[in-house]
Amino acid sequence: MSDDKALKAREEELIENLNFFLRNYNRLIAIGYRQTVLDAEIRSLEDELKKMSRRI
Amino acid sequence: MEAKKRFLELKKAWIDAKGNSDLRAQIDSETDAFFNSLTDAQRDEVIEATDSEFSRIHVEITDINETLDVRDLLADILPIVSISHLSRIYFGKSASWFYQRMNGNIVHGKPAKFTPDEVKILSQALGELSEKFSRTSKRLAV
Repeated sequence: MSDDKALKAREEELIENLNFFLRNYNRLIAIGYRQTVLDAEIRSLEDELKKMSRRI
Repeated sequence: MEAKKRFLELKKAWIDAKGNSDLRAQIDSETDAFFNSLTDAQRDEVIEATDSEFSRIHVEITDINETLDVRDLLADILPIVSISHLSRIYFGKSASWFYQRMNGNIVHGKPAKFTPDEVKILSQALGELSEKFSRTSKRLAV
């Protein structure tokens, strides 16, 4: 039967991964990660995760 | 590669410490010390590791969306067909094998999903079943 538990767990893992990079945002910029690239990447992942989450 | 390895270890430790604010604070301090200790070459390693992780997350989202696509398409079919029969006849597998793929379960440490070939077989199987339903419907109508 259809069961969302596994997909929810995978979704949670991805969200926590993104949270880790958000937590380290300033540190990444400080070591030379380009801010515009980082902002775009984070925004893109947030959008994709939101769209995916709505389907689970 | 040591910096990349350590960075990923810190990430895993921080994620695993979810719900434990004291432990997360401790890992945060370790991460701070780690970033402050990086050489120029190690900084590049961490930036590359971050890019790789972003790519991995994109791939994983695509993977989950593909699983959801199949699951959504099957939503109307599932209550009216025997998954046990479908799995056994067309894939030579059990119903649990089928559900593992439909639900994107982690199997042997990896997310299970239908391969493109399996999706084709599934499509053909449903086409065959559809023909059987249609034939029976026509006979009943005579």
